[in-house]
Amino acid sequence: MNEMVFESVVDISSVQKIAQKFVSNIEKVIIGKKDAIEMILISLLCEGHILLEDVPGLGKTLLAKAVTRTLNCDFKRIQCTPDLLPSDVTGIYFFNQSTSEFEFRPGPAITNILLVDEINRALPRTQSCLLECMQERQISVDIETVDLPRPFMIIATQNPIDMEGTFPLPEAQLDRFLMRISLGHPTREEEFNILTRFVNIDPLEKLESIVDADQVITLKNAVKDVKLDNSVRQYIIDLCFALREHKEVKMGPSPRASLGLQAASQVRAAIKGRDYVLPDDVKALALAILSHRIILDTSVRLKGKTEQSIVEEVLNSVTVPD
Amino acid sequence: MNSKTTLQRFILTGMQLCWIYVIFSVISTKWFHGSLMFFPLIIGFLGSLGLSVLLLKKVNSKTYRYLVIVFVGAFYLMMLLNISWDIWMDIFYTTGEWVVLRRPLQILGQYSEELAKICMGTSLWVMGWWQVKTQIDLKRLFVEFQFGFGALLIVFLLEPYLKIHVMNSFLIVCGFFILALCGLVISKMIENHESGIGISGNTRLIYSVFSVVSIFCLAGIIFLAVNPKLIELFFSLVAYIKAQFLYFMDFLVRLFPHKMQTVSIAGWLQEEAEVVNDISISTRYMRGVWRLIYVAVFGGLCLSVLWHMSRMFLGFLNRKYTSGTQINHESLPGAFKADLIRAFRQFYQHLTKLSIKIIRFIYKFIFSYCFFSGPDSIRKIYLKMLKWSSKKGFKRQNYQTQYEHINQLIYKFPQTRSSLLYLTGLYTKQRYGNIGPSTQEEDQMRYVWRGLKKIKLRTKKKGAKK
Repeated sequence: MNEMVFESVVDISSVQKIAQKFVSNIEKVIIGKKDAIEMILISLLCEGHILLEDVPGLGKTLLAKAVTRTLNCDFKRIQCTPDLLPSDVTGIYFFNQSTSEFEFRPGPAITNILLVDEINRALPRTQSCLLECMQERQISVDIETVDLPRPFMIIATQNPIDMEGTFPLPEAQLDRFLMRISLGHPTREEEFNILTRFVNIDPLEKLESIVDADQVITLKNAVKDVKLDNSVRQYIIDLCFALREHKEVKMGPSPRASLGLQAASQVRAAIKGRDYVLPDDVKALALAILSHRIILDTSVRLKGKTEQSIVEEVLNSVTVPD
Repeated sequence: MNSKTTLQRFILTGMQLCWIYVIFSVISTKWFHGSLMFFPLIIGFLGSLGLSVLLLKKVNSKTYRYLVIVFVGAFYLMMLLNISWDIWMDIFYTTGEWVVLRRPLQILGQYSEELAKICMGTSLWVMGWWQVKTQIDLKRLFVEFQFGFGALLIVFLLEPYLKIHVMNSFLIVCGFFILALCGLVISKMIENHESGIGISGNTRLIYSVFSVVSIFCLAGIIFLAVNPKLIELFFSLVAYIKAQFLYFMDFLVRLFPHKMQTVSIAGWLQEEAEVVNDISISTRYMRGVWRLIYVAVFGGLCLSVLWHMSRMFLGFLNRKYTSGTQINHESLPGAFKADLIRAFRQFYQHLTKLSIKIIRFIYKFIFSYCFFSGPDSIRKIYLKMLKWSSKKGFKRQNYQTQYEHINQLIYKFPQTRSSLLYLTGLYTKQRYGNIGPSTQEEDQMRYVWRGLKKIKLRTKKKGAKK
């Protein structure tokens, strides 16, 4: 771990340095997805959860693994299958015959970074057991409630194409994800680099850690000092209200969305080396934060419009503060 | 042009001649100490008398007719008083019964010249107003006012420097030079016209302007070329005629010899001197203001007359130089004046722009350091930058952020990248971070902004070879 970088973490420029190091470290494995990596970092510093949604084979799981390797934190993984039970996630009380007592065996949810792979393949009841830990950072098993270690972040992946044997995430769960991002296919040059880099060795093995859990908490506290002008705050509200009042939107984003957008904007400003938020930060994050939180009318879907296109439409109509 | 319009135009021309008379009188009073006063007064008297009769016949509005009668009548009264003031005063004194009116009459005599001008001017304005209302719109009036004001400014600004005798030779040379130039241009125009090329709008304008300039030059040269001794001789002749007129009036007075014993010219003159001393500053100031207003108007209408003269001159040239050809010439009269009005309007617009630029220059380099330093300075420059970019066709849309906006510009004009990023960075820092620019940054900001304005924005043409 690079101790030199972390000397003065409260300073915004130090946040920027760490962010650059974080991104460049993951870019050793994931090629050409700088924006997605930044989004994950933003999500981490907001302590929000992230949903990676894309077709198979684009490196969702690899990205999640690279992130966990870069962070020197406790990491667990759940491979979601239709027979996965809630107790497999949260943990169980079992009777220890040697001690003749019930003991708690923690599930994989009790960790810093939880990779939930193919989340939409889990049964709804298993998905539901994540609701508590995602929002309240705790799990309740039997009569006991266990606080989760901080920072706690879920990186979930899902395949939007494959519908057989899957269970779409409920709105309550989607709303708990700070961002939904997709990686997209690489360009020709990027794919060439991927093929070259993965010939003999797995770069994931040589990935070094940049920050640990405590440092992430310190960074998270540091970015709270980033200034947010009231006009920018008002702009966030305008965006949310424009979506709520949009005639083609059945359900608009919740206040949790605007809170998330505000916090994420502050983090983005910090990792760009600024101690103030610009409307550009809000705009850059709005699509990832708002698009999965709105529900469109069926008639609108039939017209070929998507959540992303509606959010883009709103972004291109709401007045930006001068 | 129908008969009514012809008449109105005739009236306008007559009025303008009257203005000439008045402006002549002002000039003569100012520069020749009144010695030339008699001549224009006589011309004005006769000219305006005939004109007034014509006017009173044709002015339909009762109000205007009444006003014209009052002011023109007052003018003649004042003029008569002015011409033969000495004699009238003799008459008043010899009667002995007018002692009570002596003081008011003295004051009246003091200001008779000014009052005459005021009355005449007002009457002409009334008639002019009527003419404007019946035929021409208010824009015309405004234009005339503009010209008048311009002429006034020129007269008042140049007056202390117009040493005619000293400047004679120089002005004559300049006048001949300009006249020659005008002659060349006009002859070229006529040549084009005769050869069938025709006269375009712009050519016609040049033609008109040069014709007017040539008339001015010709008049100036004639005036300046005359030997000062000849001018003096002319004045002597005028003075002689005036003296003869006064003798005649004196002869009339002497018809009453028993009253002559009480006449004391010398005593009256002394009292007049006292009256002059009694004139307060405010009165003098008022006289100055009146003179200012009327000279402005006189100057304007004097120019109008010169246009008419130019028009006649052009007609003469057309007849003279194109009579042998079979080409149908386009008529110039209507367009001629319009061209000149347009040209002068453009001239004034340019003057206005220049003055605004000067004010902005002062505002920028003197006051900007005092009042517009600190956070406000970057905002002002950013707003200027927005204005600049919108002029280039990249107006910032409401939904665009500052950086989205400049990225458009940078994409189109990559050479502006560093300047735009620097200025926008400073602005956003101040706007959203509340961090104003430092003194060094302010200097740099101004420097960058000036540099940005100087950058020539040229986009690469599609398909252009490297």
